[in-house]
Amino acid sequence: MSRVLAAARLHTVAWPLTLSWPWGIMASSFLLNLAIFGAIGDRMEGDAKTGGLLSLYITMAIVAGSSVTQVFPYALGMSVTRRTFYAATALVMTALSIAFAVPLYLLKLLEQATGGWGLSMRFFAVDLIDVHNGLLQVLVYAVPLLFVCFFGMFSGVVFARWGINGVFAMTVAGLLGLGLVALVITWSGAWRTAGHWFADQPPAALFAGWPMLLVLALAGGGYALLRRAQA
Amino acid sequence: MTAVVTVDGVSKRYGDVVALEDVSFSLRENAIHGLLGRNGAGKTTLMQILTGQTLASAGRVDLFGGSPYENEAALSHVSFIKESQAYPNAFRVGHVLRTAADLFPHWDGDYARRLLGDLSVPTNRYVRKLSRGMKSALGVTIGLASRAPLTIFDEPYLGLDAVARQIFYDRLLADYAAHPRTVILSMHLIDEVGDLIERVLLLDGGHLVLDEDADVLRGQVVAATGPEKAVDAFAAGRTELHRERLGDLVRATIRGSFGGRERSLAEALGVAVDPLSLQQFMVSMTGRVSQ
Repeated sequence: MSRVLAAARLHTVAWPLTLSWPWGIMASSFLLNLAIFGAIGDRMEGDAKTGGLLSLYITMAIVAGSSVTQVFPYALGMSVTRRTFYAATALVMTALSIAFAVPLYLLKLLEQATGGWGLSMRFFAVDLIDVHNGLLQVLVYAVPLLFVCFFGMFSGVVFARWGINGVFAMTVAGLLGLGLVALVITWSGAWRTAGHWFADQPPAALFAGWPMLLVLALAGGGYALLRRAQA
Repeated sequence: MTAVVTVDGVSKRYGDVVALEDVSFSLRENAIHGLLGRNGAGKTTLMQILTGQTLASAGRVDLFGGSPYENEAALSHVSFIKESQAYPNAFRVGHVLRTAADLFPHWDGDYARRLLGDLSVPTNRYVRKLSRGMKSALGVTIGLASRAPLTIFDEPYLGLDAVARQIFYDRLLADYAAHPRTVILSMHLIDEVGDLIERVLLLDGGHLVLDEDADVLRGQVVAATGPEKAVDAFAAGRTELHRERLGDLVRATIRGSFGGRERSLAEALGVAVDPLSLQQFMVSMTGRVSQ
């Protein structure tokens, strides 16, 4: 375990560069939205929401991906096993997801308490993910973060093993897979059923339950691929 | 005498390319080994297999009593410094020192900082901004300060100037004397480290062609120069490794033991016998000049 923690420090030792980016980028998105909302003023009807929160998730996926592509070759060179490296990376990403979800929840409370930052802006309390139980809300923020992190790690592992061609091949396979699903749904005329299925899911299931299954699949798949990665 | 590493029939193929073919040897505890060979001879591949970073296509490796692959206990005793080591973009030299302190059980941080000072490597600079030589100096520092029971240097001197190289050799010898460990030096500049090396492993085209004590080797290979007939007579019954023609004269590289009897024979025949340095020896063993 202590060696896993030592390997985890590989990710955190230069944290100002890697960990401050997600919040820095989200903060700039937030300020930009705030400025736009301020400029538009009263001409908006009702509470308008932004998609700015996504910036944090996208940045985290990139951070997770580069935490594999950048650190794995170094870790291997420092006599760290693949298993220890992967456990350490998963540990850091899980800790970050939870550590980021709590302030997101607090910011959401603040947003609701200040009437959308005085401008009726919904940046953190977006409809779909707005649940009323505090713990559940933290999970609704945290599990999608976990998902993007493990997706980023998985992509990083694919890069570590097969280079950029592997990443492109994975993208093609992903697009074909999603296209096939869409095709099957269209053929069987099941779009309404599929739509209802999503609409019937409570936010907790849609944003915490199902993504958690994907997280586990990505985590297992990423480890299986990294086991055979070579210097 | 304990074997730290035992390699048994290891081969490595990349598609059609054979990088290593049926290589077997063992490394003695607390000795400095020179792993020699030309570019592409398979030195780096062999060391990556020893440390579990690359998987062998065939054969067995035993590192501190187990397979190196994913072997935490064994690998924590290994420090492998390779010329091509990648460092994260976000890392400064100080970050490398801190992570090394976390990961190497015998790490000596004070020693590392002193050595970096002597080699003029600034600790607050990004590793990616270091010059080739400074990056090598950082690798050398990690390798020495980690005090790992098995320390491997793969071409550690690239870009180092003569002064820095001498500092490296001196510190290696001094630190090795104070903290004995098993060392593998994979190098081209063989004559610079010839005196350090106790055991020589020579790879040629993926084959291990020599595994011998350096002391034995030093007196065992000579260049015999003289008229062709005289050299023929002198070389008869000995292993001739190489022969070249220099005008009227012939120079043959000959392996065998050379005592007083051989010397008087050479004198009688008019053949000049010169001992070869390790580097000259390696060149004669692995140099293939198209005729």
